[in-house]
Amino acid sequence: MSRLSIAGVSVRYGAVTVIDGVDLTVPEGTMHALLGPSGSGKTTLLRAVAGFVRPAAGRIRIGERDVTELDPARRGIGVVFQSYALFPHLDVVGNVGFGLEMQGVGRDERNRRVRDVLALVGLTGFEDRAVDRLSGGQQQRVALARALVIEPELLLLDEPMSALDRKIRADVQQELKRIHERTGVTAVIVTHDQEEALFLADTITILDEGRVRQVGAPREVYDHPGDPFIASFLGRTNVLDVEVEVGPGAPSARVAGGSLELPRSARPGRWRLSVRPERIAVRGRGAAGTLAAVIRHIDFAGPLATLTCELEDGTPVTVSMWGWQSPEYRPGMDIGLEIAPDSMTLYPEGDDAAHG
Amino acid sequence: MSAVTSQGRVLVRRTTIVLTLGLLFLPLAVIVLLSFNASRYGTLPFEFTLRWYTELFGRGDLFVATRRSILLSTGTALASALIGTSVSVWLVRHRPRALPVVSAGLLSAVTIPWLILGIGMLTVFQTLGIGRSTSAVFLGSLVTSLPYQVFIVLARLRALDPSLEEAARSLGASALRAQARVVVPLISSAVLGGALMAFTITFNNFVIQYFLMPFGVRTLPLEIYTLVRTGYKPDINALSTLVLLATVVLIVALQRLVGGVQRTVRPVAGPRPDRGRD
Repeated sequence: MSRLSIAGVSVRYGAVTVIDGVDLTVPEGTMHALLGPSGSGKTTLLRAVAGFVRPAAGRIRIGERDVTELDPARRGIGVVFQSYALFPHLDVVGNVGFGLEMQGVGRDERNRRVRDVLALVGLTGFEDRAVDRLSGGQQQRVALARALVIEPELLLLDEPMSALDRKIRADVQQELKRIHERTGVTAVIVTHDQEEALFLADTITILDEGRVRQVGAPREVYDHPGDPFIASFLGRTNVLDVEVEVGPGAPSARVAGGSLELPRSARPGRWRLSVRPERIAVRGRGAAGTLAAVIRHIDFAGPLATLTCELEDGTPVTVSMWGWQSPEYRPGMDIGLEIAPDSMTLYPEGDDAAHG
Repeated sequence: MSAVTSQGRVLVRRTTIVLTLGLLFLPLAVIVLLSFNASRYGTLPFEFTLRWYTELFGRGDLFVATRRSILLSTGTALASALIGTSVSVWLVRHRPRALPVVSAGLLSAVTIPWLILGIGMLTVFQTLGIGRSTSAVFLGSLVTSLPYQVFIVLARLRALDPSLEEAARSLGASALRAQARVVVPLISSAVLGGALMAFTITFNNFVIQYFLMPFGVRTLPLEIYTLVRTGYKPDINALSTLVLLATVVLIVALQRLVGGVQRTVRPVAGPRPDRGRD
């Protein structure tokens, strides 16, 4: 059963089409990420689901109800805003209890539910605090508590982490995942942070220029990006133009510095080959099945290190490895690059990796 | 060397401030002092008396004029709060593109001298058949104080995160209730501040009242003007001192209300939200 379903939704601002015929379903109890670069329409799509913008076409259903024309107040949604939008004239309890008050829930029950949800987000003891006396992380929890306490059918989160610094963000992501598992609420999160989407979501929609580029589970979209744009947007990737030859053995491609064995499914012709930096292994120069390359730079960044290499014809190839492994290597070293057939994705030549 | 010049600069700056404030407050201090001085001609030595105050309270014409001024100012303040707030809300919500034009218009209403505005309005009102009348003065006062009201409320409204209203709506509040529970409390001090400003401006607006009041009907500034022209008496000092006192109370209230912007309106989240929706 799907909690949210979006069918053929388009949103226009004047002559500009911001969302162009988007279809999307989110199953009950899952977290779905809308991921895309800025200007991709992800926030607008969320705002259409919330009822803050009216679609020019298409239908939006929450559970069994068609909410396309419904007032935001009646949709049964909880929203966490990018700015949190906490009411500055109310304290923590006033903010969190606001939705219950609007529903006409009595004072005693309201207090009990506010207390419970504050315990859930770890803010017990902050009841009477003015919201501008809270840290960013605490404000974010108040915003989450305020949206959850009304027990929404659908929780909408609009870039909820973007105002937090990196270290706090990691903690809050863990926390959000835990709270989502505890409450079982169906959630849609808008983010431009691909790691956040991969970490939090059960399914991801990748949007670009108002259209859906790909939908899938995190592993699926990461390991099998639908096109080079998605591959380069969701993490980094190397793209090589290759000429595929299918002989008596496995398909293969001639690349500067050697020959690559390709997946069995490869067809002859000119293709673009995408491979993620962490799927390339560094071997000695001349090892069987490797491409000859030279190391140009080594960038050490703690847990990971990035090697920028060059094939014989000057094509750059990025390789990542554990940081502790990197001292073995030096710029200028001759090496061999090993790329396993199952780590490659092939795209028709017309696809444009730089798009978007 | 540079320490000396920077010290010199500080000295110059301080002297300037002291002189400016002195120039402003010395005459006021003299008036307050003389209002308690027994001498009819403002001569020393200082001898304390409340005589001028008792004499003042014995004058019915001044009371009538004061009451008239307070009525006019209160009426203008109320109208300005109502109209100014509606205009501001409308501008922010429905006509953001008209905002710069309207702002420029309001700003010019502030910068055009009241003298010219007064003459202009008198001409217009006379052709319209309103002429010199109470409604003419009321309209004139409203025109001169409305821009301040709009500027103050507009500034507060524009500093409000638009998501606040959406948050209230998503939590089940009707459009009206979201306004009442979130927007109104957050702009109320600005509305009140603007109204106080309108009150002060109207109370002091001699020029507009001089041009538009019917002959013989005098507000307090007109009454004082007439008194000074016919012969200066120390009860004027007593009256001025009372007006001064009321003004100080208003100014303190204004500062509390409008100066409190930072405390009440600063967005709660650290960085500003990205306004460009994508």
